[in-house]
Amino acid sequence: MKLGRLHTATAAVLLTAVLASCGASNQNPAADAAVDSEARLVVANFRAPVSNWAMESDDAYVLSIAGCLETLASYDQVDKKVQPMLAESWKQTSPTEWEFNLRDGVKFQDGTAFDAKAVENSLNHVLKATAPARAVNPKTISKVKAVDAETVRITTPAADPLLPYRMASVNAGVLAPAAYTAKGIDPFGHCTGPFAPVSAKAGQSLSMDRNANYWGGEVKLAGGEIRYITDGTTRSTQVQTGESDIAMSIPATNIATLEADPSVELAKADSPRTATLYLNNSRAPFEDRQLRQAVTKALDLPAIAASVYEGIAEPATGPFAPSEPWANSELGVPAVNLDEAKALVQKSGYTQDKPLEIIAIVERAEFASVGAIIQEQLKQIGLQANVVTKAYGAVEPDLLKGDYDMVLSQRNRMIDIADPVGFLQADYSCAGGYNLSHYCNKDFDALVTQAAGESDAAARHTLYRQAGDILAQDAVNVWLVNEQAIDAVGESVQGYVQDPLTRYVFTKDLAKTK
Amino acid sequence: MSSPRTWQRLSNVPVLTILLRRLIGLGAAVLLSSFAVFLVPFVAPGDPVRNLLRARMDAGAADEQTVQAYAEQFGLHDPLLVQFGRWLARFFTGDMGISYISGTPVIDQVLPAIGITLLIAGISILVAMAVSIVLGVIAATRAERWPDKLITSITHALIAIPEYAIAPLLVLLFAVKLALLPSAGFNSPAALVLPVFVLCLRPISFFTVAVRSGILQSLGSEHVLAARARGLSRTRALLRHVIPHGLLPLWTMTGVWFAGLLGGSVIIEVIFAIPGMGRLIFDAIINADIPVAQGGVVIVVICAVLVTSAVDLVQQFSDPNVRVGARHD
Amino acid sequence: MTKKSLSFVLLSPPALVLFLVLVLTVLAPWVAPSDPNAQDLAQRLQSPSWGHLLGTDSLGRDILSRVLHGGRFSLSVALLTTLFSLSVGTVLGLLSALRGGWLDEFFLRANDLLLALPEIVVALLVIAIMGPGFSSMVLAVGVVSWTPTARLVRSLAVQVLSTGYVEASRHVGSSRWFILRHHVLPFLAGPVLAQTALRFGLLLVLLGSLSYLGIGVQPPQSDWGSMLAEAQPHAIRSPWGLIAPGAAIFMVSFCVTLVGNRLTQWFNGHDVLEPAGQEQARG
Repeated sequence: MKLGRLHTATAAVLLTAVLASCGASNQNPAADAAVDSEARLVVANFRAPVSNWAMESDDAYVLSIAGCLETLASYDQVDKKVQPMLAESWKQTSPTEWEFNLRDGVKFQDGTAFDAKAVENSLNHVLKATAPARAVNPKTISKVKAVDAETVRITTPAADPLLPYRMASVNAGVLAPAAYTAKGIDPFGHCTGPFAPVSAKAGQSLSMDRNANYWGGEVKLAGGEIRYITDGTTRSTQVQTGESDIAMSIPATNIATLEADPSVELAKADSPRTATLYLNNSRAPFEDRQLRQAVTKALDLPAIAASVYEGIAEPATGPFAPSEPWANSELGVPAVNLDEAKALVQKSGYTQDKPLEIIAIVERAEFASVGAIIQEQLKQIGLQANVVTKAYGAVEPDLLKGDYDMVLSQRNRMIDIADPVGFLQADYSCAGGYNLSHYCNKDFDALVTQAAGESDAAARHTLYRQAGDILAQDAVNVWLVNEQAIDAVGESVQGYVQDPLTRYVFTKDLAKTK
Repeated sequence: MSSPRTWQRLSNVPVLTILLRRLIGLGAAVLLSSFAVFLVPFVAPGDPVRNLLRARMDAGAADEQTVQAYAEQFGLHDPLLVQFGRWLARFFTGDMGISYISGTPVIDQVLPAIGITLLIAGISILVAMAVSIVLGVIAATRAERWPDKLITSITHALIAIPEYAIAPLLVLLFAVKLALLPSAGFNSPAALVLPVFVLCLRPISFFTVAVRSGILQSLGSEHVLAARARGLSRTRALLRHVIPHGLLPLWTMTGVWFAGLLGGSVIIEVIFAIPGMGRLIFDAIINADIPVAQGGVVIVVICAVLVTSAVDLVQQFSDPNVRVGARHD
Repeated sequence: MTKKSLSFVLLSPPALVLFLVLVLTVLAPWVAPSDPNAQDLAQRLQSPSWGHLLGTDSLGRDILSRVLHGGRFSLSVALLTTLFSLSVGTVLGLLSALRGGWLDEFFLRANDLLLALPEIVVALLVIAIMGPGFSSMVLAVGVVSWTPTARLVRSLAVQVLSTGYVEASRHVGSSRWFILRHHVLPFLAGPVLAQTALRFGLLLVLLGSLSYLGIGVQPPQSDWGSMLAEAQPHAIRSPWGLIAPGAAIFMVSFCVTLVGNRLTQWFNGHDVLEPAGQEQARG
């Protein structure tokens, strides 16, 4: 059902102890010796391709996880920066122009040459789509041109220091021209990655074989399979029974069971998702900042994290997770202070004539319980509220119109690219396309605009932090808890590096012991 | 079937009338059910175009321009009747349309799904028939004694088992604890064991009772008594006369139950991650992918009507006691 | 078959169990050992003990109390749905038998259609339109579940209308209403009642599956189906959250079927599941 798709866990770049040990064992020659070069590995994925492999859709994630699709650049979790992949290097030739130098010796899996024309063709297909991709669309890229066989020039409408990040998003993947047929995308033989798809069963699985001619060197696994299993509990069970070697995006409710199983390891990382109580800043009563602050002071976030989230999530300190480089490390979890909260309610002059409404999104089962806790805590400062549960699709038009009081939802700050600028623009700027809070602050907008054009990463992060501080001061929403991205890994898996953005799983270094 | 008597009856039975009635019914059923599916996005809360876009790309809201462009591509902002007429016109030329989400022909999604469902439903019905014939015959030939009483209690218990409680428990036992069977998927014969087991529980209970009462009636019928009087042994009388006759009520039930299982069991398909028909339709309705939902429902209706009609017709020629349309009287 | 007394039905073990369950759920607010929503995170996923007779769920809530309270929802929605399908089925079945003609033909085709469509899909259509909730569940399942009753009523009514004494009654000038009240309805009452009991059991299971799939009861309310769905991720650590509501659905459905069976035997000596008694009712 819909639930599974919503577990699109994508997360901050953090290596946990588990991952570090995976990485370490990888360099251990003894462990290498035990690797089975004939092994095939099975991954249970939360997402099934539904768009006929359209590259602008989320189907591109499946092809990337499969080790088929590759991009010009890739994002390195460890160094937290963009690294060369199909492009060897790039440079910004003018504020709005970039030149990407393609890697030599890369071939598509059917043996045809990888060149600038293929890149131009692939990117233009995504740009021309009716429903364009989030990170790669005509608003962010105005032109892609093959200058010569090895050089691609990309023009942006405005100065965009994040263009290499965009080229690392899966939607910017490169396929051979033959992949673009009248009937849709045919990925078979048309990728450059370490694994070549050999068979697909609709709605069930995709099987791959090792690409013996991979440009990046020897591929350790003989092949593998991605199974589409949208139910989180079924994915967890699959790793326990050994039917799958890796299960992606494990729901919090299954964690304790898996932790108790010695044959399963859990890879955890901060996810860039924060469960949030959105407040409608555009109408009474929450257009009043004092009342929003009162709500912030009334809610006991550690209690919510410990109970509903079973201690798996951390209470939030603000709009960003503390592990993100642009988070303000001085912010702590807001302290509960009922007296101050009551005083703020009084100062705002708000008198209730009818109960407020808290909408809990059905797709996230835990929100109903979170809503119940919030309802109780608001009662303590004299605010009456009712919890109603609704399907996201049914309330989205009301949310976008600003016709609601409070809604419990969560958002991914770093969808597709490891940078929050798209999120800040869409969710909090005056003209933002997903500004559920209907918040508008010129100072905030100015900071974000400045950050978007700032090419120095450290300076950009400082601007993000300042923008985040404004959001926190204005108490735009109540950021409740930071969720975790969790994958379950079987004991025979080696060399798995968790990508919190769920792009890379089948890499050349992924292996299985005998 | 080929006895002279059958041929004589064939000419008397208004086969054409039955077929015609069924055909009209089928047409009405297809129209009605596809229209009902069609109505959903027009009356359900939420924006259907945004639902479609969200199925393609999970996070975030599309801008107004994208929504408009996407709706235009499929003519989704046309009036309801215009859209339905367009679908009907295509349908009559054998074209089930294009999925709003994948942009590929609906038929390419519906056919594999109905194939999977036919397989699972078929196996479940066969298993249920085999089990229930054995149980029913034992119960009937030992009526009112302990085997009968035991079997009757079992059949009454089977219909009360909620499949969504038993299936996870079976997975826990056979896949997790004993590691004998796969927990989910549709990639090996072993993966079918648990879904088929859960699916055939309820048919077994209804079939067994039908077989038992059929055999009991047949045991007391005149020609069986006559055969016994002619000196036919009990076993031979059972095999030759009682069982074939006593199983007649079972065939009709089989058709109806098989037709019912064609819609797939959404629950079973969700729990065991099987990409069958029930799930295809379910997901399509939730995501507002109306052409797929319509195509799925229509295929299910057609198959179900075909199966029940076939059962009716076969019965027409094999059972002297069944009249036209007897299923309904 | 000798006529059995009514106590054969009413004082049978399944009827007594049903009665007990009914009393306990109706009185849940008074008899439940604790507040069904009271969380105790130090006591999560406990096995049965004296403090919690059926153990605790993933938030440390008392499973017995939740089963009792959830039963109020499960049983009342199943009861209403059964009554809905009973009344619609009876009226349509009678009309079809009495009027005949195009109405009858329409009835037969509607039957065919509903037999062919999976119940959950029809229910989903209704819920997609109305939004989930108590009344949607009743209507969604009611829309599909009236046909077995209607078929039974129709076939019995046709049977009784063609008997000699109804003919005779008609000749002496009895009104349609009189015939209906004095000949048809008394003849229907027994078999229909027995079948209704069976239907109740089947509908209880079906309604639970809607909640299990997340399109039935919506939190913060819960019923047995949604409790099962909630418990599933934790089943390996503690299967009690799965077993308790599952057993509750099973027990009620089983007992009500047995009662229905006794009712039928009381009336005519057949098994309630027999095709003759109820025309291939489907679960």
